[in-house]
Amino acid sequence: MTRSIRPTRPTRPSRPIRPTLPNRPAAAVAELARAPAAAGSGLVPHLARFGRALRDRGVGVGLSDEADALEALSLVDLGDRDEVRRALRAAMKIRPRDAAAFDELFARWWSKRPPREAAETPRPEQPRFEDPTRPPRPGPLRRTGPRLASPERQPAPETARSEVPAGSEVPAGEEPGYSPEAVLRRKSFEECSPADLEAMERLMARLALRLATRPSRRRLPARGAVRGEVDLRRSFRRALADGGELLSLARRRRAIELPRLVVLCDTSGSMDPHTRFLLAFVLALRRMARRCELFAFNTALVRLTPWLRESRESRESRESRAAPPGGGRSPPRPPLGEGGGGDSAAWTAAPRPKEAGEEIRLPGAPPAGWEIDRVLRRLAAEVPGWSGGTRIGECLAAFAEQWLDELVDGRTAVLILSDGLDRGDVGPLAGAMRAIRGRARQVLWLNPLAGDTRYQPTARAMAAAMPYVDRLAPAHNLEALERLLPLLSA
Amino acid sequence: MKPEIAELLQAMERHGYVADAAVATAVFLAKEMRRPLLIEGDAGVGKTEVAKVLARLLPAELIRLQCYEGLDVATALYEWNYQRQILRLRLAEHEGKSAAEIEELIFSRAYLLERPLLRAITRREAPPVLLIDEVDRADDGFEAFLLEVLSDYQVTIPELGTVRAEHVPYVVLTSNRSREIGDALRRRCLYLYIDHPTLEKEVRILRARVPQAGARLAVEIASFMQSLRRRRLSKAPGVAETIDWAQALLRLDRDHLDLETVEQTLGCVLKDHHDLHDLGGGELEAALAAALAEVPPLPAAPPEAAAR
Repeated sequence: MTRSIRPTRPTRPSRPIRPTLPNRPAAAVAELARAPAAAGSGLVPHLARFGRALRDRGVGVGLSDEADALEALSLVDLGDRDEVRRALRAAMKIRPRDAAAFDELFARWWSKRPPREAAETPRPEQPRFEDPTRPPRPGPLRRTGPRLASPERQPAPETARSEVPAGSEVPAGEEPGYSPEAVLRRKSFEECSPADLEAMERLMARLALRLATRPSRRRLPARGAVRGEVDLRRSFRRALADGGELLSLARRRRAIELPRLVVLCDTSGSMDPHTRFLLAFVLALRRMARRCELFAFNTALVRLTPWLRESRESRESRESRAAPPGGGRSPPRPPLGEGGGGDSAAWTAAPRPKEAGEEIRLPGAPPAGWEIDRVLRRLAAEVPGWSGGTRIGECLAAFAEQWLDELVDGRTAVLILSDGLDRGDVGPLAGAMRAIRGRARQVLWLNPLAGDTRYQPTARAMAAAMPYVDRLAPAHNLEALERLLPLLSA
Repeated sequence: MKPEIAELLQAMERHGYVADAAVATAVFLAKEMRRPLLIEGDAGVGKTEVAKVLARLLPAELIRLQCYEGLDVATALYEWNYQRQILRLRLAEHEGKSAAEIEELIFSRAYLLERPLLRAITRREAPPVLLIDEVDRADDGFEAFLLEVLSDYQVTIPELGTVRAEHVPYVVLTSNRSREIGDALRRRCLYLYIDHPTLEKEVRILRARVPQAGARLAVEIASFMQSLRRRRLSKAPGVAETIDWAQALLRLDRDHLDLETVEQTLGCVLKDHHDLHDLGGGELEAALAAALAEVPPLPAAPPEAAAR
C-alpha cells in the first residue's frame, strides 16, 4: 500500500542500475562488499569467507551452496543490497531457524561502507562463538576431561556400592561385574555400581531389539510368499517371461515401519542418578529406531543428536586405531565424574564378561558407555549450569517453537524423561505440552519417581503436564524401561 | 531491484498472486539458473500457488505430483500397461511373430503409462512446470530417488533405455516441514521460506482474490487474522483460511466484523478444538476489539490502490 513494491516503471534506485552482467560482477561487489584489505578482494574469496563465517555460526553452508550463491549473484542487481540478501538466502538455502544468524552476518559482511567490524571480527581461524549447535572441534573436548572430575558431579553409585554387600548378587569369583539379569532388571538405578552399569547397558542394547514395529503403508515385494496381496506389476512381468501365462502370482506385503522417536531428557541435578541410565537406554533405542532425536534440557534446551553422530564417527576412527579387543576397552572409560575415585582399581581390574557382551552387541554397536561418557562430559563443559535447576516449561516451549514441526509428526513418539520437579511458571509448560500432544503420535513421560507405588503426579509442573501425557511411566529400573518398549512401537 | 525481477513481481500479481520481493527473487533465480525451487512454510501460506502462478505466467503446462507416504516409482515415474501388453501378446501369437519382434512390440512407448515425473521430462513442446507437492510426506527413499531424477533429468527404463529430458522442466517442491528435508535434496535446490503475510500484504491478497469484499471488511479480516496468528495457537490459520472466511462472510452479506458474526463463522478460521476452546468466554470479544482497534484509518483507502 504505502510502500509500493511493484513500481510500474523502475523507480529511480539510489544508485544508477549498472549493467550487471554475469561476466563483470567483481567490480561491483568489491565496492559492495569491501573486504578487509589484507585478505584480498573479489567476489569469490569474499563469498568463501562469508560462507566460512556462516559455518562458524553453525549455519550449514557447503561449497556447493557457495557456488550457487556466486551464480545467483551474477543474476541480480548488485546495487540493491536487499536483493543481494534475498538472493543469497535462496541460493545458500538458509532455513528460518538460521535466518537471524544469517541476517546478522550479512549486515556485517555485505555493507557498502568499508566495515570496520568485518575487518576485525570474522576471523574464521579463531572463531569466538561457542555455539553448542555447531560441529564440535577436538579442542574443547580435551579440555573438559579434568573439569568433569570435579566433585559436584558426584553420582550416587559411589555411595550405593558400599551398600551392596559383595557376593549378594555378584557371586565372588564367578564373573565379577556380571549380575544376574533378573536382579539387575529390578535394581533401582540409584543403587547400581559401575559394574552393574556396564552389564545393564548391554542388557539394554538387547532389549532395544524388541522395539516393536508396525506395518507401514508402503508395500514391499514378498519373495516366495503365498499369502499377501497380489502384486500386479510383478505378476505380469513374470507372466511375460512365460509367454503371457500367469503361472504364479507375485505377492507383496506391507513394510515394517521402524518407530521414530524424539527424546527430551532432563539433566537437572535432581535427575543426576538417573541421567546416565536413561541416556544409555536412549542410545540403545537409537540403533533400532528409524530416527531418534535426542535433546537435553535443564535451564536451556540443547540438541544432542549432532554430538552423538560425531561421537560415533570419532569412535570408529578410534576403534580402527585401537588395540585388539583383548584389553582395548577399559582405558577410555572414565567413570562418571569421580565415581571411580579410590575404587578405580576395582573398576578396571574386574575382568569384563566380554564374550557375553560381544554376543549381545549389535553389529557395529559401540560400547554405549563410552559414547554416554563423552556426551555427558561435553554437556558438562558446554552447557552452562547443566546440572543445575530445571525450567521444564521454558525448555519444552523452546522445543515446541523451534523443532516440533520438523521433527515430530504423526508417526513420532515423544519421550520426556524428567522428574517434573520445577519451581517455574507452569503456563508455558501446559502450552508446550499441548502443542507437542497435538502433533505427536503419542507422548510418554518417564518419571523415575513414579517407581514408588505411593507416587502421585502432584508436583506443579507434573500436574500441569499430565492432561497431555498419554502415559506416565516409571523409569527407575530396567524392568520399567523394558515394559515401555511395546508402547514405543511405531 | 533488477528490472526483470520487478517485471516478474508484476506479472505474478497480474495472474492473481500477491508476491513480495523475496518470492519474486527466488522464482527469478530458479527460472534463470534452472534449478528446482524448494519452498517451505506453514500450511496455507501459498506455497503451491507459486507453482501454479508460474505455470500461468510462462505459460507452461503444470504437472503435479502429490506426495504421500508409500509413494513409489510406479506412481511417480512410469508403469507398463500390463493388461494391454497381455492382450497384444495374445494377438501376436496368432500372427506368428518371433519372440524378438513381440518383445519389441510390447515394450514400446505405446504401452508405457507416463506418470508425472516422466511426463515432465518428455514434454516436447516446451518445458513444463513440475510441482512436487508436500515432498515431506514421501519416504526418505523417495527423496533419494528424486535427487537422481532432478540432477540429471534423465530416467532409465530397463526395457526402453535411457530417456533424456527434451527440456529441463521448471521444478517447484513444497514442504510443510512435517519432517526435515534431507540435506542432499536441499542442496540441489534453491530455497524459499514463505512466512505468514504482513497486514498490508494480506489485505492486498484479499482484495485480489475476493474482489467483491469491501475495503473495510478486507482490512478488518486481515487485522483479526494477524492478531490470531500472534496468539499461541496450535494451528495458526493461513492465507487460505483468510480467503475462505472472506468468501463465507460475503455469502452471509456482511460488510464488517462484529462479535456475533465472528462467533458464528470462527470455524472457517480455527480448525482445532483447543484453539476454539481457548477463544471461548470473553476472550474472543477482547481479541476482536483489540484487532479492530488496530485497523488503520480507512479514509486513506490504500487497499483500493493496491487492488488496482
